[in-house]
Amino acid sequence: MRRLAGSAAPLFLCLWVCLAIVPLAVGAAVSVLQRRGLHVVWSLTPAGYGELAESGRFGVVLHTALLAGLVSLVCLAAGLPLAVWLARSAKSAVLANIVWICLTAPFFLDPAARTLSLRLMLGAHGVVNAGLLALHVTRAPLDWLLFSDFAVFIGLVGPYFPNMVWPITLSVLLIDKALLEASADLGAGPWHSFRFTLLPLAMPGIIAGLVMTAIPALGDGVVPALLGGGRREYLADAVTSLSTSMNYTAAAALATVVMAVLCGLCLSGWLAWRRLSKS
Amino acid sequence: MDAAFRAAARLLLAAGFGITALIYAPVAWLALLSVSADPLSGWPGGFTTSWYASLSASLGWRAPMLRSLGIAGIVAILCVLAAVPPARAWPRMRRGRVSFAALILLPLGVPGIVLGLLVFTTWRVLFGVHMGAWSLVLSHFIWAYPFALISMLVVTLRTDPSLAEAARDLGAPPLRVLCDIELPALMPGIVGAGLFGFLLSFTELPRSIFTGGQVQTLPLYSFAQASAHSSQIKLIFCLNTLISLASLAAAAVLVVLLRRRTA
Amino acid sequence: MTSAARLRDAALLHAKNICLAHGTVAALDGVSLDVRAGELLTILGPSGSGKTSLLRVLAGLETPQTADALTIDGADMRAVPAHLRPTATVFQHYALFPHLTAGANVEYGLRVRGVPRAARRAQAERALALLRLADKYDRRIDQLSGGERQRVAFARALVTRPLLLLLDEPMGALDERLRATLEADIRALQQSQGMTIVQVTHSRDEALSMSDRIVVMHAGRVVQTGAPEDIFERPSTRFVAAFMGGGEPHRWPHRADRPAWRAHRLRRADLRRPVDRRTAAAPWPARLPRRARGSCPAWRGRLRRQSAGRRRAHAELPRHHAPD
Ligand SMILES: Nc1ncnc2c1ncn2[C@@H]1O[C@H](COP(=O)(O)OP(=O)(O)O)[C@@H](O)[C@H]1O
Ligand SMILES: [Mg+2]
Repeated sequence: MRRLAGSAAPLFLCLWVCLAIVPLAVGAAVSVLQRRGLHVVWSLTPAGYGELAESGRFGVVLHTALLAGLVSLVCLAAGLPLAVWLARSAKSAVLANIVWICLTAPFFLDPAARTLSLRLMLGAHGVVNAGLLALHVTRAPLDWLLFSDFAVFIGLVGPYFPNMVWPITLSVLLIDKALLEASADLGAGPWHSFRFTLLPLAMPGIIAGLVMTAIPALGDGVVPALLGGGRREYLADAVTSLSTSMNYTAAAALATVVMAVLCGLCLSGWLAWRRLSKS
Repeated sequence: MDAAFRAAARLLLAAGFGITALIYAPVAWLALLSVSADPLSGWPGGFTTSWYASLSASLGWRAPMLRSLGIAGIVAILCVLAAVPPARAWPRMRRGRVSFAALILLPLGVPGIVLGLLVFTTWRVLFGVHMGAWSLVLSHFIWAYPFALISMLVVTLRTDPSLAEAARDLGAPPLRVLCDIELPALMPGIVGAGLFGFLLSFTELPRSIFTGGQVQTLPLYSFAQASAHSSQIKLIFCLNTLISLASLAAAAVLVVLLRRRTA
Repeated sequence: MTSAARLRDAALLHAKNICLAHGTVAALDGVSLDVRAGELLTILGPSGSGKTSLLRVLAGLETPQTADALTIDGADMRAVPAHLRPTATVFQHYALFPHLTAGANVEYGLRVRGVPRAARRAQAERALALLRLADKYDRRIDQLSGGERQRVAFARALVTRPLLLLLDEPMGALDERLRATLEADIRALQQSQGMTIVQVTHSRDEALSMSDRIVVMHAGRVVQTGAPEDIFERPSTRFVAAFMGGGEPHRWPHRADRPAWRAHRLRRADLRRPVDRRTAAAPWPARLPRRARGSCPAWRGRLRRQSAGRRRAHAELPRHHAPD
């Protein structure tokens, strides 16, 4: 059995690298190749990036990244207390179980159908506007509720919220209860216990949550397509339009830019964390 | 300081509950619309089950549905088979933990639509694979496997390794140890990995757009109908209401199993 | 606080009728306890008797279902959360923060009190040096041995200068040597700093050798309270008698004014001596270590001051030991 495992592990890793890792490298490679018509020529050129700059797609990446960042920060702010509550202080096991189920199911809901339903709710004649009108919050239906950054934000926060809560809850569950008791015993109030004990110990979960929220939100195609309204291009729109026009070098360049931005974010986050944990 | 902190935490906790509710508002609305006379108006009213009747009569969604079920089943099995050995070995791994984890989690760090595009170009151009059912299975596997592995690891990291050692010490051969001690202990993780594999594949859209070729899965079908403002949308509402109910049930099973082991 | 000015016998901690239940399990069933300022009180009892639960109630980590009184230094503690109580605990399993170094662990209590960095570093270094860990300041917790962890936990609790130091089986995981050193350390610290200590143990020998007073617990109740000699010699119930007398006969260490570590050296030397058959069956204090007996006037004086029954025991002492 051990011998079997010994040979299966490298085989699996090779397959994994071929299937999942090589494409990432290929993207970076293709992005600097020259394109002639629909074909790719083996000579190096930054033309793909030039095309991106011309069509203003760096701005698209930046705008989508800001939106995804905002989404994940909101998810973190609301998800951290919920995760701590789920892992530590939920008085009622039944309620905690219900919340867990509610947070598990969204992984499995069809994104198109849910987003479509949200579109019907947010429209000028939708239930949200009707409710606001009935409560006399506004005089006329709010037109920025749908086909706007706001709509995309709302559409993204919900589905990716569980991605934040899950890993944080798991990491808080793994913290020994005795450590928080020791912290209180040493005179740390709720804030100090949180800042000096819980937060650093939950940091792996928080980082996992940020990655698992921000990155899918960045690349989500359904929500911008159905709620964005087409007035503004989002990252997924750019990827789709570049690839449907068979402009593979520019598409690969776009993918590489996204990866570079993400690597930069991860690196700076890691450095920030190291400085934070040192002080 | 502490009072302000407590107030802020309570406020944010309320926001957390609010966002949880926000996830379900569209789903509940969807369910309401699916039994309404005119779902596309966006308003419920005029209770009818006729859309469910025409759903059961209609044929368009069946082939994508069956295909999605099959693909999701295969992905689930692959996920379990590939997640159990590394998760079992993890606590005993001396070197390479971090690089292994980084390698597995790296694709999670790339937006699905970007990865779909890259995977499509690489497999198609470099490996000459034709896009179809198998490329869907593989791209879904790449998507679901990290989740499956994490759910296995949550269980193996909390399982006492001395249990297996005790069994071995009492004279059980390796296979008996596996069947009698380890598999029962790992069962929540196995169920979790399988469910993640199944349901993440079942609802996968951004990668499928690129790796599906001519093959249509259920999410591809729904997305096409939804973007085309098709008359089939009413049926999609019905279908998704049913799927939501099924996934809530599946989630309930998953949560109860995982919590029994971890809490 | 005015620890120097405090009378030695003033009650620092007063707890009355404390009941604590974990679900349906009653862990504490009407426990009352008084701790005098400056004393080392040992809570002794078999495993599961509620010792840890009692310490956790005192530290504020558990809320008892009833508590007629719980005061520390005259202040009612019943509504005071753990982080505002003037206590510090050395936990049974230490509960050291794995994400901090040994030094940062010791500094923790000062950091949350807003002590400036330089000052708290100096204090932490002093506390570590006191426990002979001066060179371990930058170690991560997982790079420390069991005994070192124990002493870091100790330093971490000490550095906040608690009115009441709570020790939960502080020597549970230590080997015999470390145990002896640490017993001496605790005693020395308590005497030099005038600290009040409540210590939990299930080890009879540990309790007898270092306490000023002993509280024996059984099944969530206090069954007897008194000086070590008192409890050992005149157990009030059959349970206490069995618990104090069972197993290996106790070798009474002398409780002299001399530094405690020398007492322990004597005791260990004594253990290596072959057991004297003639005295093996005799009750305490017949088996008092010879050298201790000879060099321990303070201890004898203490006995002499006590009751008539005790005096009889004292009178027996030379007789049993004469032919040794
Ligand atoms: N968290 C808990 N839940 C249920 N029962 C507990 C818990 N903690 C302690 N007990 C029970 O309370 C009793 C006293 O426990 P404890 O104070 O830990 O005993 P000791 O420290 O003397 O060994 C025991 O019977 C134990 O089983
Ligand atoms: Mg205990």
